[in-house]
Amino acid sequence: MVKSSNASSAAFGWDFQCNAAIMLMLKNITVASAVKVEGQTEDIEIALNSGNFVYSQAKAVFNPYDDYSNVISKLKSGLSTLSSAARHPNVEQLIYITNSPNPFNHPQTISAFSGELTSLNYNNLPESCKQEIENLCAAEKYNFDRQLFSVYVMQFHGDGENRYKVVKGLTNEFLASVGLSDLGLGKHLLDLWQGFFFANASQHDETLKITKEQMIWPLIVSICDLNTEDALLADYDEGDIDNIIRRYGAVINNNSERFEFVSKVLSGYNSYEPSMKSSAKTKSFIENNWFNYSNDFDVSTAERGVLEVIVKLAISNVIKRRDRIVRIKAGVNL
Amino acid sequence: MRFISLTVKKGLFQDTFDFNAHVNIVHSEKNSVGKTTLLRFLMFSLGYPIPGTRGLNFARYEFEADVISANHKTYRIVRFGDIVTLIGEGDDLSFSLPSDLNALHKIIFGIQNDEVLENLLGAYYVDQEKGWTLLNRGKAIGSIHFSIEGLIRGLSGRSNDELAVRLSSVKRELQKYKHMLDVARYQAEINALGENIAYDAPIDEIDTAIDVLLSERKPIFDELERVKNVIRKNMSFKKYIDSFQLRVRSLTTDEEIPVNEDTIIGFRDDANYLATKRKMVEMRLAEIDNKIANLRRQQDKENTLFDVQTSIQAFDADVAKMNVDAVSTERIIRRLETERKSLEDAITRSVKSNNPIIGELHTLISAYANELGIDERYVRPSEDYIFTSDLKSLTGAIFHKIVFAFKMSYIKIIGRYTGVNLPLILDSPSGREVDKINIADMIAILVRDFSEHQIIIASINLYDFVSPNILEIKNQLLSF
Repeated sequence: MVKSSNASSAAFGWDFQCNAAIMLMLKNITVASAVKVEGQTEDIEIALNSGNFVYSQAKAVFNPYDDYSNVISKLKSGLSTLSSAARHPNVEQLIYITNSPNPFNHPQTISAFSGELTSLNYNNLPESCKQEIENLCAAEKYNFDRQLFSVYVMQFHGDGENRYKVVKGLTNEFLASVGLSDLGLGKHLLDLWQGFFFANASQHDETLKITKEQMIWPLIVSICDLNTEDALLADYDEGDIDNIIRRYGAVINNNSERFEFVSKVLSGYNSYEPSMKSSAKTKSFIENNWFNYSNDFDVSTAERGVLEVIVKLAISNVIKRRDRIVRIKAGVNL
Repeated sequence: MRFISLTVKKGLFQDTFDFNAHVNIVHSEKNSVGKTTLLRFLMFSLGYPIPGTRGLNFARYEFEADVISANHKTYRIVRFGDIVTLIGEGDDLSFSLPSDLNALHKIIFGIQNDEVLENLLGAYYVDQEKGWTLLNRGKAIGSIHFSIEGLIRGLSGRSNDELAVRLSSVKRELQKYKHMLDVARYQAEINALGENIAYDAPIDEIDTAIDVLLSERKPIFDELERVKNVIRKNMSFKKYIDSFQLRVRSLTTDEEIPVNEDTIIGFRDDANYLATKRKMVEMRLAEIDNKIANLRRQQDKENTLFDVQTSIQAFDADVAKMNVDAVSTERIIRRLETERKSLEDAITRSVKSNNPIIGELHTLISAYANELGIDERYVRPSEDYIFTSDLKSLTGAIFHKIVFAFKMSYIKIIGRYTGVNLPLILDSPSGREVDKINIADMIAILVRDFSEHQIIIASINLYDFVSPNILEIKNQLLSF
């Protein structure tokens, strides 16, 4: 992915905003449908399935632990924009999100915001912070429903891995929630997502809109790659399978992605032994039916033993994909 | 060989100076009116690279020298700039200087040996500046060299022996290595200044990086084409199903359902799956293409950078790339210098060994020196003396007279070995601290031994010659 190493505050701010958007999407993944990121106003707008919206203001501080000099002016500007956003219909939440552990410049409240990711709604904010908000709103005539308002503090500083620690943790949590924690996909998926944001916006004042489908489908594609760890082929030598995938990967994919084949396999699978449990059923189905599908493969050079592996891999890939698509769609309510 | 006349032309104007076969005195009462210039005109007209005098650019004049060659033929030598035309006796030849100088002189002087020709001027022409300090080796005038070894080698027909050939190749090599050392020093200098960095373009590295990316790109591109192909097939499958307008009935609800992409189980998911896969592969491809494009831009930039380099920068870049080992170059130069020195010694020895010319020359020199009152303290009886390089002990009048003795001896020996009577062209022989009696002795020698030679003397004195041809210069040499 194209991560900017530019330390300029504009690039840093945009990076923070994009990662805050990913974080908010993950927090709302079952109810959200899309996210819009407006570079110029530092808005993050999450559209929900219900038709409601979560409006957020993302304000980053380049040296969050050393520099509190601008936190109040950032808060003021954030409140100003949220106050305008509050006039929209269907507002469900108004969020001020920053990476400063001291967003109100009240040192005694730092501990309240010191977690990796802290979210406090208005009622749970320290009294001095509430007072600060009231003072600012009174002075600037900001008006919004305090019950919709919350403050998020997301750790985001330094470079590389450290900077993305929080979103990476959330990505892994999300993968665990859809039963994919063991595949080590967290970093890959986060890279992909961050790539969407950065690749689509070379100019930071552009507006990006990314739907939940756009975020989730790459995950599905990533976990449906052919791989040797397929438990369904445990009887074979892993090295042999690896060789076959390398040599015939395109043939296997061509068939397992062609809808005629997919449809044939899934029909056969669904009507096969309805009483069996899924993993045993898959194994048994492939073992007993692979030969029925071998005519779809035109691999004249392959030996019979190799053809068998090719067909089995294609069938198992179809079934695995179906299973994962259904599981993840349900998990994220897609 | 002798001059008949010299005509100097510029535009519509011209002046002619006539010379008789014996003694000619270019005379003026005052100095600095053009006596030296006239003698130099004569030499210049023979094709020599003679420097101008007092701001006079010889290249702007056309010279016509009528001469009688050593073979007693009359020629007109016409020189303008670096082109000489030789007219006469049926010949009309053109010579380009300086490369054809020896060819021209072979005709005029009738001498075929290059080494003799190359050392001729130093023998018969004595310039007022350099001439009277030139004994046996050094510069005769301008860049024209004289070497007694060369002259003797030529006269004794030993020019092309092995040692001489080897010496000239060592000298050429030495020159090349010295240039190489200069390059190494230049390299060190630009490296020290850090001026080579910007131009040391890692074009090869960029090429390699692009090759690596292109090989990474290939399977990704193939995968993209494959996915696109599957998408096309699925689309045509959908159209095929659509074309039947199939409808099915639910067994449980009795509901009638059209068969299309919305109702076929799994179709949309698979379409989404493939669309996403395609997009992801495209992103990977775009990422690689982006890297390739960046590298190509960098390549272009470095190419254009190269175009706009000044020639000195381009030169620096080339020099910086050269692999010159200064230390070993210096070692080679030291070795070649030693070899040159020993070759020169060997040549001198070989010139000297069993060479009757040396003895004859020494006898001539000793006799003339003796006649001029120079004793054996200065001109030693050993034959080797003629190769002396000890000039420091010679001062004033003694030096002057020894030079005269050497020159006269050269002309005599050249005449003896080639049969050519060279002219004697002497600029201000009575300069320095030479007194009247000494001059009289010199004149006596000229009259007695060189009556067959044309003598051209430039002087403010008239000397004791019998009916000399006096070319009197009043205020200036040329009338235009």
